[in-house]
Amino acid sequence: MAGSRFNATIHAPNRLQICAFLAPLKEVEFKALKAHLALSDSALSKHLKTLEDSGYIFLDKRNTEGRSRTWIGLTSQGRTAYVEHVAELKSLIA
Amino acid sequence: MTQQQSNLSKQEVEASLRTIDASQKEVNRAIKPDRKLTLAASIGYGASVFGFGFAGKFGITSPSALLALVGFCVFICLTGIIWNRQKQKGIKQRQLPRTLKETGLMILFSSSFGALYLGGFFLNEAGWGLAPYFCSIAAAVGIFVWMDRYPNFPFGTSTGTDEQ
Repeated sequence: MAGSRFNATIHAPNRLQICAFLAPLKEVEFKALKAHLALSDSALSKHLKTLEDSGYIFLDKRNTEGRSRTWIGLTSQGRTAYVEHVAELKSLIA
Repeated sequence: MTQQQSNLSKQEVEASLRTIDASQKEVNRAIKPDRKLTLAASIGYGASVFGFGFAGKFGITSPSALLALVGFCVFICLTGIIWNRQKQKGIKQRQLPRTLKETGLMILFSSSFGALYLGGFFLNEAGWGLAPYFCSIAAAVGIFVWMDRYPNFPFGTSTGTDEQ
């Protein structure tokens, strides 16, 4: 059952959750992502760092209305990797 | 990777797919607009379809044409307010399709609502006086169901567990 689409980086439960949440959206702010996925600051930051180092997400700090907000989104590489990983998971139980 | 895959049990894979589904549901919950705004936007759109349906009969400067314009403006403004509120909450929805499937669904979806718009007008012209009523109700209900139940349609369709 060889398949090159399986992605161990994305497969970790919390990272899979993060990618699944980001995939249908353009971008999400750090605090909103943390609230919706019920992760702590440190856990979310750690997983985001791993995904960013793999080139799967971008982190963009912007100042809006005097507040600094970090916006997170999947890169096209990340989106492709996630979609392929989901397809591979489905093929494993097909 | 092959070694890791072969070590995955069916239960683990199913658990992963459930995680994905749960995240997708959470996205829908996160972006679902306030029901009052959804209702107002759908009524605005329905009113616009209704007004446009009678614009041919009564003229472009008639109250029905004005209703069409105002209703459409209300719909657009409320949609903008909804998107802005989501942005304040830290979520930005996609507005453009990325895959062929999403593009096709978007075209089909927009065409259906466009057909209701034009259908009310042309059927009324052809003598079906009740057409604008039916088309406006169908359009209002359709918009409400879309915004309330499937707020991310069609952009959630290519990235969930039911993708491609």
